[in-house]
Amino acid sequence: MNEKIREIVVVTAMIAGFIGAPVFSHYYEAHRDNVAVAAAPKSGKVHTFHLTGIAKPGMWTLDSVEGWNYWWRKPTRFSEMNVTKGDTVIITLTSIDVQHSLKIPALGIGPIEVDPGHLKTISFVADRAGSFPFLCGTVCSCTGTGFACTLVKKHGHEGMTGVLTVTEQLGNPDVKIAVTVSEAKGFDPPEIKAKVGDVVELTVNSKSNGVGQGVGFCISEYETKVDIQGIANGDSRTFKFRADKAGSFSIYSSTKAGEKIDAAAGSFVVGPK
Amino acid sequence: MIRDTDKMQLRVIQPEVYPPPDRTDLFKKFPWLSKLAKMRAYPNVLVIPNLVMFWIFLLAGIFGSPAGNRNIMIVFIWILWWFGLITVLVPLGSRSWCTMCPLPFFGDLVQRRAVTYVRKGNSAGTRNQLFGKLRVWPKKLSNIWLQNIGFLCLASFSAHLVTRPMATVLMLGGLIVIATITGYLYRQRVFCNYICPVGGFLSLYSMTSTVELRSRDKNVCKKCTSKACVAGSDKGWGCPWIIYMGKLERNNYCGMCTECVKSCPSDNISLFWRPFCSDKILKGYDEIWKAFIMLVLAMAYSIVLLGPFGKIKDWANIGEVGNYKGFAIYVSILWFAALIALPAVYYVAIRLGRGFASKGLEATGDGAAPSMKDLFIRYGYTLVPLGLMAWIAFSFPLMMVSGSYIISIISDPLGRGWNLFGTGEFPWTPFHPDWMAYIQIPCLMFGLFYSLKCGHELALDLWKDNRRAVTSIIPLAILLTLVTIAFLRMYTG
Ligand code: SF4
Ligand code: SF4
Ligand code: SF4
Ligand SMILES: [Cu+2]
Repeated sequence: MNEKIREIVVVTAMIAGFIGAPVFSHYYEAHRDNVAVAAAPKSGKVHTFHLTGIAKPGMWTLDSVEGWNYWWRKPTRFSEMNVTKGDTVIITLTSIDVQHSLKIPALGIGPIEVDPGHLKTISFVADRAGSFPFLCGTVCSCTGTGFACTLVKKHGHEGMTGVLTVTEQLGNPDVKIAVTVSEAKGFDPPEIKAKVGDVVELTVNSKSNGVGQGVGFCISEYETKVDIQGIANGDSRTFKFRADKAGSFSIYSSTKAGEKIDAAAGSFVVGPK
Repeated sequence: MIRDTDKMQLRVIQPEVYPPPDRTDLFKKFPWLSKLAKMRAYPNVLVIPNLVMFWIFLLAGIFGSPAGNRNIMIVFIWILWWFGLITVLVPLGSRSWCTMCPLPFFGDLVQRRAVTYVRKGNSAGTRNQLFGKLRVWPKKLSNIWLQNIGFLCLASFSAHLVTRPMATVLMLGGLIVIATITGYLYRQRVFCNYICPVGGFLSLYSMTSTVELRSRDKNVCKKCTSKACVAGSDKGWGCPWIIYMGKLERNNYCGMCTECVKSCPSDNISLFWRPFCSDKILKGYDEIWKAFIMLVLAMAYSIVLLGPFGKIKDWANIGEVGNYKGFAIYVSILWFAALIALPAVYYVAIRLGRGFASKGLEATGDGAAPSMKDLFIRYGYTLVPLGLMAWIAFSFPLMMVSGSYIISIISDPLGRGWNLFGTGEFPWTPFHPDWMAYIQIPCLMFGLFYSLKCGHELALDLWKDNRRAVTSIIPLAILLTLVTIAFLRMYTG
């Protein structure tokens, strides 16, 4: 009888160990996420993104890359992070092969370096609306032939891009305008007028396929708000944004679209209130 | 083969009544050791925690960072465990790793259906109740060839194993599965005896170990009617390695599980302290080829991991570099060197030595020279001390260069940025790389010394004449010295 009890106790303890390990892991990481949230600034909704840097396909991915899927499941999820203006963004960074670094130049964030198997956490409030591309700021300085070097030389940090999009609830537009892009007239009308603080609703209609890729539309210094490439003939895109910077800004096609459209110019004039 | 009438004069054979002057009865000297070995809970108090830890390693390999140096699976197995095994456990503890090894746990469980007690009964030639098919392992496979080939296979992929946690998961997980299946199909530890790739080299190098488990008096064994050591009793399971203590003369195939200590009714088994390299007799081609393989691998790894040859490194690192042709060349060279080239050179050395030593033998009427086969197998032992010390010399730099990973891994076993004990960010700090040569050179010299010393003793037993004995091993001694010099050059640049 005694023997039976001992057997049961030992086997139970063993099984408890088997189950305990993953359970502990789960709670530890949940707890760590909570700590990160508690440490982050408090504003709006809280979004947590886990970015993993990989040199082999050359990307920051939102997929979780672990021992089991590193080999045969190529991570493909392009990192698009969407939040609303005023929300809190928490980004955890990790790398699985070599040192990478995260940079969001337009927001002045980074480069934040992260070593393989380590974790870095950053948090900030998305207080500017727009699309903010991010990338890896690491430059490969390998001269050796070690496997990490070979990896980076083949694939590189350059491709490790993604975009953080901060959208804003803007309400009714103060200025509503449509611009047509065509070979005959370039940007029509060539000038858009607004005042600082206005909400602009801008529709771009394409009347050309350019050199096959469609046309582009971009307002310099407003790139985080208005920059679109490859609008095919007959398509249109609408942007809604706040004109928060005064001045005169040039409009151009950010897609190579043939001599005429490439040479065409427009302007976006934001006057004082 | 050893001529039976001479047996007692052979300095390489162990005496019937223990302990001879060069042995110390450790159970007598430290009674707590004996008590420990007799406890039913031993060795499971070691095995079960190791098993749980092993489970954590597997989880870490699967769900942790794919970066090897940030995963406990790699750092603890291929740095800590390997280093501890080759530098401490094997030379000082024989197969004490097998005492605590978690791999065969489920295979044992399938057979015994008990963890903490012994089942009395009558199955598979034992006095225990065992379950499963309990088949007898085929005679043809009752050698360590499977282990030799298995080890070479693993060694070919070593670059994957030590850099990719998942590769190690598949390998070790696979071994557990095989151990469990063979545990179900065959009686006792067939897996450990004939399949486990780790077991192969443990068996070879445990011959050098400074401890041995033996019966105190083989005459008691002769009179013993129960033969409980091999057959088991209500106190212990029959020897899982199927060893009859009355005949045990070498460490090779004793897994130090202490079942026999528990079951022997005459308290006739003890652990003895003994001089380094006390078991000197290799018994077959499988064993000597194991010695060839291990020596070649020590050499190959030294070249790949420590040497200055970037190209060969890339060849070995197939998974990362994708150079399949280079990898094929690397593997072919490895297998050729281990299975054919070194044995051939060794054969020539033995043949030459035999030729020199048997000059004029017929005329003196001293009898015939020992056969080529005897010499080939017996002298093979000279590769053992040197091989072991070469592995030790190879493993020190690994530990010294990468050992600091252990400190950070303790806090972050999965490489997911944990910090359990505050050491998660401990930086990589090589430990005195400048001391390496001062450790490696003595190691190799020590190994060479023992190889030559044992070679001389073996030769004396075979030739019965010091002059002939010495002559017969001169070419071999030159070969071993050249090998040592090659290692030294590699380590000292
Ligand atoms: S032979 Fe292999 S599986 Fe068996 S106990 Fe030893 S190391 Fe473990
Ligand atoms: S049970 Fe003890 S006495 Fe009997 S053969 Fe085995 S070791 Fe010898
Ligand atoms: S002889 Fe057998 S039972 Fe005894 S310790 Fe060795 S393996 Fe275990
Ligand atoms: Cu990068």
